[in-house]
Amino acid sequence: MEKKQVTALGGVNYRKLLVDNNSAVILLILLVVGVFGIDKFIKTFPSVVVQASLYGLLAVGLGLVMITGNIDLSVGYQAGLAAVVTVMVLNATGSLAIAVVAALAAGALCGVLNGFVVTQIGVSPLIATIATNYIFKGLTYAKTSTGSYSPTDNSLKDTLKALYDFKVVDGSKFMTLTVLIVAVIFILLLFVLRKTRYGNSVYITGDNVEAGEYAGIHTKRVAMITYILCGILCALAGVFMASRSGGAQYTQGDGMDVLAVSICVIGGIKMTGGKGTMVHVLMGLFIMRIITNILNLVRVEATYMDLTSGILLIAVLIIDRFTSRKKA
Amino acid sequence: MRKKSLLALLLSLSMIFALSACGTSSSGSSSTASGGSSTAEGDSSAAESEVPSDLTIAYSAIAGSDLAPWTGAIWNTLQSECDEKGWDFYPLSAAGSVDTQAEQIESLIAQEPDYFLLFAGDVNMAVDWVKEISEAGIPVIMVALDVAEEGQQYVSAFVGPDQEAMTQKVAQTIIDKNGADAGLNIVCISGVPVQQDYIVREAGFTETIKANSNYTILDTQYAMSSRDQAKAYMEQYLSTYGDKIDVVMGYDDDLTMGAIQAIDEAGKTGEIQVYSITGQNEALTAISEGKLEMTVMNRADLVAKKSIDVVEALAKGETVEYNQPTELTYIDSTNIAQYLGTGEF
Repeated sequence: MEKKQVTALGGVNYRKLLVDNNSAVILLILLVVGVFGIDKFIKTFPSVVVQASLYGLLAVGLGLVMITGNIDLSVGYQAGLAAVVTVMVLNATGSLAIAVVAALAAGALCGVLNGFVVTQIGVSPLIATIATNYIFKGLTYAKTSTGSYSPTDNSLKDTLKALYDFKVVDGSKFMTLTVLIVAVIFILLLFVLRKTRYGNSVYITGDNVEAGEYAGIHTKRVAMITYILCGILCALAGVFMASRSGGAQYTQGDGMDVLAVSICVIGGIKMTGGKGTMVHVLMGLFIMRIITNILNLVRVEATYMDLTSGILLIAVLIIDRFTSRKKA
Repeated sequence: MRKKSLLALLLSLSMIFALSACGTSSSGSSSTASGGSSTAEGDSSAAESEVPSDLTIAYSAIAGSDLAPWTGAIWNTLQSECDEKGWDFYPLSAAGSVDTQAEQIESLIAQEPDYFLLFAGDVNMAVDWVKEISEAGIPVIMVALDVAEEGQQYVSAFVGPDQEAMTQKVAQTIIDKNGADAGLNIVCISGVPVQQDYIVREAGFTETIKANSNYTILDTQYAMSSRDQAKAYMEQYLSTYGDKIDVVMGYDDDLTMGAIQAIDEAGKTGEIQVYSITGQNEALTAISEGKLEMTVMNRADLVAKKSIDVVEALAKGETVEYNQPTELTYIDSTNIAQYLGTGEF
């Protein structure tokens, strides 16, 4: 059997490069198709960036958890619950700052609950976070069962909405406060994962728990911290969701868990843990948002988005499986 | 093997874009139902002018045929009406998610349509949406559900049934038939708790019952637009409340049919009065069989046709009245013969 080694230029294996970076290839193809083939694609791109920022917070949080070899299927309703807490505390205190802090604290508590059940009790992260998702959903539903849960007066609603609408650069369509915060978090986590001891321990926990323990890493503590960080990031997403809608909605967290997993996996975070970076999350995020935008622009119903995401996810998992087997 | 992997990837991408192509060419089935006037009530004294044949109409709906037959019928009728007039129709369904609808509205605005039809999932969130659409210089017409009062300044017209009045009248019919002091027990089956049309329907019914009778609403459950789930809730009601139940109110015929099935299977047909709204053919048959007391025919095709009439009037430069109510027909055993088989679906 003929076996070609594609190392034509400077010893670089381009085929390996292509397979290892399939998310970058998909993103590039989508950008080319969008820019040259879809009318109004460039015009709508700023809104893609703004919308991506909300989902980005969930995906970054989940990405961290996945790198440790765990999963969190409750990210959507952690955000939904945080949106409820934001409105509840805003109504009670009239202070947006206190409401945001309370929402972040609620997110951290959700993370503690997930982390405790997974790392201390030893329940499978998949089952544990499906269960906690029901808890968070139930709590969210308790306040939003009549549709939406809004600030009690219009001035509070305006205050809440101002957060999402705030433009960091006047006149810019996409330089919003949300985008700036998400960009800073991305860069910060990129640095933390690459350059710090904690970042290293996150990868070792995901790659080989036993080796990590031998090396003196408290892998359970590392996993617990990632769950708490994930909770806080989801809560921040929830604050912005409430701000965008002017209140909390029952449907706000719905389907976000699967979307966040899709973003991470399509971007290149491995389900088995130990691999992937924030750049991969960023690529997965833009792949999903650009597909959504393209389908919107060509007027495909929302139900087909799920079908598309599913097809793409399966394709990436197939590639992942074949390439992993090759390496083994 | 890697070649195969890449092939799989390319295959997936080609499927995505094939789907995209499907989206642009879908035309939907035309509703052939007749009945009722669909003329926009406006100032017809304005000078007659030609309606441009190259209009583009955006339609953002909280749901299309993906969630309920009624929302699907609006979608399909709008599509066929636009096709008939040679207008470009840009529809997007949010499949029940208001967040998705918010994003889709941004996409539709970017496509710079001439008119924007909006069937919003949340009347309060819609205030910001209509403001945004209006500021983009696109006239907005609310379809099926009005925007909250503060948003009405940005909207040209609201076309749709008075959903609250519809359930108020059903409630009053129950009271008139049984007497305000009959002390009846009612169980309700609704659709989606967050969906505004259900919220408005529920408000009309419960407020009328509470204000005008000594009846008790024992329970209301949300079947999430699923007939099977509605049937399961009715079975649950029957096992929880047993013979206490006097009346069942279904906020959509499709759900009510699930409840009727459960009542049938429990051998309670005729013992419990069932009321509903929408005007589905199955519900009309149920009235003729004595399984349902009343339904309200609330035709989706009239809503769609009247919305297009409003667009046409605005395009001619005519002034249209804000409220463009669509006809509601109350059907019970006294007039069922006239309407049997005339439902849209």
